[in-house]
Amino acid sequence: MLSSKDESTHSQPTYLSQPIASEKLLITSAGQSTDTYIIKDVANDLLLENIFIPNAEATDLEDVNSVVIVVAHSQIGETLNDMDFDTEYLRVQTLIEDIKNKDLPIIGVYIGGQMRNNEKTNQLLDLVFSSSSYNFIIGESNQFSDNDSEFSHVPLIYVDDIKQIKGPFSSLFR
Amino acid sequence: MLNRNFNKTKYFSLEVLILILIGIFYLTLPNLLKQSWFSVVVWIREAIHSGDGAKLFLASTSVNFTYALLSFTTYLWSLLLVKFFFTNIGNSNRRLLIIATYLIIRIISRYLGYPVEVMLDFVSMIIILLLTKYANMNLDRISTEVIISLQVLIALQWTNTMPAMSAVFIGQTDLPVSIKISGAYLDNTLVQNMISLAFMVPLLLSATMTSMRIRANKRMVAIYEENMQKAKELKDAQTKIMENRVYKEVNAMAHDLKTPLVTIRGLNSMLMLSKDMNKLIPYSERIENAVEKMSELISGFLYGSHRQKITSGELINYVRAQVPIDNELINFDFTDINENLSICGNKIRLSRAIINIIENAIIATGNQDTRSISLNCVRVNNDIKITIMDNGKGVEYDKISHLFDIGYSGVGSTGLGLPFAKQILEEHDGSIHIESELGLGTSVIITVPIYEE
Repeated sequence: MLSSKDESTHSQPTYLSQPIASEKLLITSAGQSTDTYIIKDVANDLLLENIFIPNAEATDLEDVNSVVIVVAHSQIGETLNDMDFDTEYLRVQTLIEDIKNKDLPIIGVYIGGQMRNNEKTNQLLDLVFSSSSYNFIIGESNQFSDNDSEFSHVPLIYVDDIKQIKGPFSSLFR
Repeated sequence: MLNRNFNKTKYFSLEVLILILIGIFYLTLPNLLKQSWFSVVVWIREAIHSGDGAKLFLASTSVNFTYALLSFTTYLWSLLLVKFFFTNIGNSNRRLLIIATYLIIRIISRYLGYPVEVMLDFVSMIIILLLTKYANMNLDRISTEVIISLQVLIALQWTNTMPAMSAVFIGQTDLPVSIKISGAYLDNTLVQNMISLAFMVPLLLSATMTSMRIRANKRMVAIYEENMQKAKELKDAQTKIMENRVYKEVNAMAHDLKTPLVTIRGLNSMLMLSKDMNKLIPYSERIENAVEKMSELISGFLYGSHRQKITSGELINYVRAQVPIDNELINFDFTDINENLSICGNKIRLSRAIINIIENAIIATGNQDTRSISLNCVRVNNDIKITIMDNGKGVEYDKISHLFDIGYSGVGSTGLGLPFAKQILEEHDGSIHIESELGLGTSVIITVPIYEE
C-alpha cells in the first residue's frame, strides 16, 4: 500500500496493489457540493454497489462496508438542503464518530483543488481527512504534500486529471 | 430663494430615495436569485448524471447573468451616489471614487455571503474606467454609462465559468467552481472555454465600439457647436453689414429726394417773384412733377412690390446719376443704350441692383492700369438685356457659382451686392448670370421682361 510519503508523482494516476475497502459503500458529502455527484457517477459507472446519501447520518450506516466522504463546502448546496455550515460540520463530525465506532474504512475525497480553497472547506478537510483510512485527491492540491499537515499520516492518492479518476478509485475496492 | 431651496430639497430627497430603493433591491437580490441558483445546482447534478454538457451551458448562462445583475446593481448604486453627491470634484476623481465605492461594497458583500469575484470585479472596473475615459464621459448621461458598464459586466462574467481563467483567480466562488469541475469531469473544458469566449468577445467589442461611437459623437457635437457659433458670428456680421447698407440706402434716397426738393424750392421762389400770372400754371405743373417724383422715390424705397412703368432710358439715367462716371481713373462707357424699352418695375430697387454690379466692377478693376467699365442695354426677344462689363482681374470658373452666396465675395467687397441684385431681379421675373475669364474681366448679364401694354 502507498503512504503519503511514497505516493506517485502528480502527473500519473496511482493504483493500489490491493483494495483497502469493500462494497457496499456509502457515498456522502461534507459541505454539500455537487462534487459528490461526480463520485456517485464514477461509482455507478464502475458498477460499485453503493448508496448515495449526501446528508447521511448514523442510521444510514447499516449494511455498508465502507464510506466515501466527498469534501467541498457549497453555501448554495447547504441552503438547498436547508442547513447551515455549523449543522453540516456537526453532522459530519457525528457521522465520522459513528463510522469509527463501527470500524468502517473512510475514504476522503477532495476534487476542488485550489479553486475550492476556502476556510470552510479547509475545516471540513481537516475533519474528514484526519479521520479517514485513505485520502483521494484530484487536481492541484499542494497543501496535501506538506508532511507536517494534520493528516500526513493518512495514505494518499493523487490524480491530476479528473478524467482519470475511475481506475484509481476502482483500485480502492477491487 | 425659498422656492429654489425647496426644489433643491425635493431633488435631494428624490436622489436619496433612488439610492435607498437600489440598495434595498441589492440586499434582496440573493433571496430573489436563490431559486435560480438552486436550479443551477440541479442542472449541474443532471449534467453529471446524464453527461449532457448542454445542462452545464444552461447553468453557466444562469450563473453569469445573475452575477452580472449583482455587479451591475452595485455599479449603478456607486455611479448614482457619486453623480448625486460628489459634484464638486474632478471627473477623474469621481471615476476613482465610483470604483472605490464599488469595490468596498463588493468586499462587504463577500463577508455577508454574496458570491463575489474580487479579481473579476477589479478587472471589470479597470475596463469600465478605460472605456469611459476614452469616450470622454463625465457622468452627464447615465444611459450611456449604463450601456457600457452593462456590456462590460455581462461580458466579463463569462470568464467565471471559463476554466482557462481559474489560473488568474477568476471564477473562485461556489457555483462557477462546481460548473468547471463538472465540466472537467465531462471532458467539456474546451467547450466551456470556447462558449465563454464566444459570449465575452462580442460583448466586449460591442462595449468598445459603443465607447468609440460616443467619443466620435461627442467630437461631432463639439464641431457642430463650433460651427453653429461661427455661423452665428457670421450672421451677426452680415446683419451689421446689412444695417450699414440700409443706412447707405437711406442716405442715397435722402440725397435723391434733395433734387426734387431743390426744384420745388426754386420754382416756389420764382412763383413768389413772378408778376406774370401766365407762368403760374407751368410752374405749378413742374412742382407737381417734382412732388410726383419724390412720391415715387419714397414708394420705391418703402415698398419692394411697388411697380411703375419706366423706360430703359430712365432706368439707366437714374443709375448713371448714382455712379461716379466723372471719375477720371475709370473709363465709363454707357453709349450702347436702347432707351425706349419699357419695364414694369421698381425703379429704385432695379437701379440699386445695377449699381451694386457697377460698384463690384469698380472694385474689380482697382489694380488695372487702364480701368474700363461699360454698360449696354439691348432688346433680346421679349427681354431687356443689360450687360455690365469690366476689364478687372476676373473670377476663377469654379468660384463663379459662389458669387451669389451671401457673404462670399470675389473682389473683397461685403459679399451682399450680388445676392441682393439676384433677389431683386427674381422679384422682377428677370435673371442674372456671370461670365468671367481670369485676367480678362467679368461680364454680368441681367435680363428683365419688356413690358407690353
